[in-house]
Amino acid sequence: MAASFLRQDPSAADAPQGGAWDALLDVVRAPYVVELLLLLGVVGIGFFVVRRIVALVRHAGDRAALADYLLGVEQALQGDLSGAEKRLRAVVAQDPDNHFGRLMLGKVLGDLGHAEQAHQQHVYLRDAFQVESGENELLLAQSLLAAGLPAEAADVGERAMARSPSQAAGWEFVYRARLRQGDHEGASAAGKKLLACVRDPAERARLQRDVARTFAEAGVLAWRSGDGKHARHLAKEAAVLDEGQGALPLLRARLDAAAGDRAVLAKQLSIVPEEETPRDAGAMVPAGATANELAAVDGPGALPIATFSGLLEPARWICRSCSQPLERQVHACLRCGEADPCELVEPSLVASVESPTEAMDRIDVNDAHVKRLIQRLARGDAAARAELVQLGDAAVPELLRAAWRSSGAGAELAISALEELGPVVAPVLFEAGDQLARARLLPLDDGPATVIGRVVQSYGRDALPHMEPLFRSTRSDHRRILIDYFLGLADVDAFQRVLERFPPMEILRHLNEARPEVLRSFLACVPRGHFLSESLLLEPTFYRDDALLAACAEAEDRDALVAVMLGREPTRTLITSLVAGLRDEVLAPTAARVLEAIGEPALEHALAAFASEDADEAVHERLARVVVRGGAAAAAHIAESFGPEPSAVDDRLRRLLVIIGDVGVDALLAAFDRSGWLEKVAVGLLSRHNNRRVQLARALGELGTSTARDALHVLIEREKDDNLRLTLERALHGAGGSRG
Amino acid sequence: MAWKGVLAPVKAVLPKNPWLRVLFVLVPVLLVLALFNPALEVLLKVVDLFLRVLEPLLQTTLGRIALLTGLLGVTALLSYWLLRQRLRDWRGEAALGRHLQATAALVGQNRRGSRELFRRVARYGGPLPARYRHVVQDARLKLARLTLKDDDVDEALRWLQRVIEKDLPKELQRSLLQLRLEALRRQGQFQPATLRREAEAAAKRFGDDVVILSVLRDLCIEQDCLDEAVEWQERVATHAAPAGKATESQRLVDMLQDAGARALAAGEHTQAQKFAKRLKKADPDGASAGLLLGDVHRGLGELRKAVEAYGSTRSPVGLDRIAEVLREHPGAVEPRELLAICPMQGALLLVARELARAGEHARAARAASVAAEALGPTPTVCAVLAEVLDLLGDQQNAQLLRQDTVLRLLTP
Repeated sequence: MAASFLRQDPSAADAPQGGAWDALLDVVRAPYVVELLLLLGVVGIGFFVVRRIVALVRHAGDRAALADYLLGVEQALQGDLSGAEKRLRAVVAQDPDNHFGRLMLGKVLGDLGHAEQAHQQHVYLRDAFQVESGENELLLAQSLLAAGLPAEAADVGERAMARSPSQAAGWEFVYRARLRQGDHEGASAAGKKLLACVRDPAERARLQRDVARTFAEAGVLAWRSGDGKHARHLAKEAAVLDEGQGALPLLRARLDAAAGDRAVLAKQLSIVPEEETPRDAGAMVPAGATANELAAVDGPGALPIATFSGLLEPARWICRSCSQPLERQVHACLRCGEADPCELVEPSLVASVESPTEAMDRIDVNDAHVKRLIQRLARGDAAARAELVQLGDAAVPELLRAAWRSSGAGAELAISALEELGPVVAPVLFEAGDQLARARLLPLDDGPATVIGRVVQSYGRDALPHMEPLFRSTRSDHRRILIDYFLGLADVDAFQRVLERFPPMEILRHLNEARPEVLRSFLACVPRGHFLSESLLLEPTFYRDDALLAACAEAEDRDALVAVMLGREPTRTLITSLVAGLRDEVLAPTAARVLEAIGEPALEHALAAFASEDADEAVHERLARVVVRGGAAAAAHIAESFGPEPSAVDDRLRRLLVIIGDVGVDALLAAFDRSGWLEKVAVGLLSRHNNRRVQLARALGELGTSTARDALHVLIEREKDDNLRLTLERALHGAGGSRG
Repeated sequence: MAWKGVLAPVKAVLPKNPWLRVLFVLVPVLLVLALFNPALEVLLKVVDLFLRVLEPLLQTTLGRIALLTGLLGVTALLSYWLLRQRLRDWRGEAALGRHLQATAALVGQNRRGSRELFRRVARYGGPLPARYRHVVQDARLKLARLTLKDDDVDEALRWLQRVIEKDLPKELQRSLLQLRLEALRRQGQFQPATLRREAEAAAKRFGDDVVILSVLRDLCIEQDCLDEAVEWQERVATHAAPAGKATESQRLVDMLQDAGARALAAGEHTQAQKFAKRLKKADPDGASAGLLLGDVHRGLGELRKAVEAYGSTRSPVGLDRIAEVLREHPGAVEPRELLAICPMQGALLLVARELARAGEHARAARAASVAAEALGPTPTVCAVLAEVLDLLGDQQNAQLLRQDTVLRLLTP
């Protein structure tokens, strides 16, 4: 065909036409067609070549600071980051449209640790120069990650990966960023995509293990949030990737526990088989024994970590971002790239002991520890109290010292702690008391015996065996303790031993010093006819009349105590106690009874209490009853009680006089006649100093009996003062007895 | 070429424009021909002869193609001759443009594309662009870097060998040194001593180059000069970029630890102590320095000081080491002293274990109670206290402790 084409055989033109091919052949065979085509081809090729060259030349020509750009890139590649930064900054300044220069500058700035500046360059590229580049997006994401914004970095990374979804490096970045964010679920998804892009078998196997852990960790998070179904699904995913994943056993156990009985499962998992010792069982193994990496760090005597048959991974640290167990303290997490990632699994192990001395004192249970406990006890610390009680004998000496030396609530708390310790500590208590007593240089006070006595009182009969040795002692403090103890027993029969061995004066002294509640309980047991009621309590040196009255409330034989009170001289203490007793609902009847029985010696006190404004109406009523029972004597006292000027109490006193009635009229007459020195001096001059007489006159008027009226008549006749006489007449008129 | 010298004055007189030059030469020639008729006739005859020769060629397609090719060739030659300087510039600029494209591809992580383009630039033998005369060498270096990254060391060396060192700027020289050292080290066919000499020379020139320093470090390790390797690593860690600082610091710490351990094993306690000091400087917040110092004291039999050093680390590893010391030397440190010099809650566990082992059951029980109260049921507490309670014969409580710990693990 070529030969015929070259020859241009004219006969060929006459040949029959054979379709399109022949037509094309005819066209080509026509003169100058080939030449034209050749010319066009050559010109076209020439045009293409020239255009390409021009494009390249223009591309180079558009760039300023070219040498700086290329050398800057080279510097960046060789690791001279500061030099590269300087050059590339100059390039970008001269040629802002050099996008790759800017991209490289951003990368260099990121590597230099200037994440914010790097971010700025990548954002310029994206927003100002409208560069739609996956690489720029990834670098932008990296700068965000370096700036500590893993969530944003992962989002940007994912957007970048939407452009090139088969780029393994990009997915790896997203995976790490999600891990650093702590978003294990997001990391799992990125990890799966990463696995699809990785071809190298070794790398793929390593990544599979890693992603399996991420799935398991995501499962733990789902379990924590209560989504057991999803957690189970994630556990299955993890198992598919790596059945031997270390985080899986615990996740499975947790899921099983959530589905069943947690306590039973915990018990099952914590049991160490009997034939194996804990160290051999695998339930608790030294850190290095199962973690081969840790074995190099930890020696054979190191502190063991319980793994509960593989439930836990024996690691001391985990990454604070991705929770990867770390075999040692590292500067960066190999899994997620977090800097300084180490977080202790058991931070309490290295937490400071607040006071080593205190901790050791606590272990040794020495005096210092007990003293600290007592200090805490004084502040109301219930735990300290419980520990002191638990310490038993060891706590007694210091508690006793505190109870003796302290005052107020501190002493009370120490005593109550000693009481709580119970009678078993009695011997130690006595011994401690002896030691404290011996150590006293200046015995200015009673010593610890009072406290001991008070404490043993609370022990009751259980302490009796411990008290026996004290009977043989001649020491005054022991005797005191004994008496206090028997007082506290509130058993008159038992007290008989005290009465037999101790002089009455000593017993009386202790009775006087006894605490009110103890003495009250004791006195309540005293029967009629006993030595105590017949003799000892009648002694004038027994000062505790208040306790006598108080004991009446709970006494089996109240009359016995009433008899004791009446048998005693009506001392001021007794009467004061009785008057005070009128204020008590329970004691009031007894007090009133005794006061009435005492008679006149008690009247003045009762009247004084009656005049007081403090008491309520019921108490006034009781007092009034006691006073009224005094009759004429009471009237005389009342008549002397009016003041020179009117007061609020006058009406109440007058009312008493009215209640006393005719019995008191003579006493009133006598009182009217008896004028005070002020009345004598001011006779007829100052009317206000006549209040007493005015009140008496009014009382007589209010009484209104014939005796009273007669008395008024007598007084009117005798009275020289016109004002008083007028008052008397008015009273008489009020009483309805005017004579004329 | 002597005639060129003869024509030089004429050339100097001729105008700069090539068309004018041609005209300037042709006008006198035509004038001469017009004046001498015979000569003109001869010329016309030559033209006639030329047309006679051309005519048959114009009759056939092949002849016309030959004529057209010839014409195009002559035009091209003439154009080239006239535009040769500009074309040379264009070629250089085109190579530079290609190099820029390759660099852009490299920066954009398109390694395959960049490699192809660099390869074309690296083979370029034409005139060099004035704006960047190192374009070919740069391309070769970048190719070497790319191939080295792909572990093709031989290919990298081939490219590096083609780099002409003369007149290279400092930046490219540094890259050349870096890459050559790296490639040679990885190839493994050169004597380490030779390599080291070359690396040391490079390090003298570029003292802060992390890659060169890293090569030196690796060479030292290969030659078993481990202490020297530590020194190089110290320089690497100092000059490393912030992004890689953590890795290099970690490596330095590891190397110093290993060096300290080696010194201890060799009985060189003073040397080990120096390493401990360097560790303290390299890792001021870490436990490694204290651990090594403790190991030194332990090696010297200064157990109290060892425990103190371990305790100062405030790390679980420190506690582990103290536990080891106490296991090897029971009673070496009194519990009270132990707590005073190592005031960590974990030390309470050690105290409990020590007391239990010493048969002081009451104190051990109290220490266990104090420890459990302070630490709570953690895996370590569980394991240690189970051991203590086991020694005290209180297996029931040990089991309860284990159960409580597992229960906590299973509770959300």
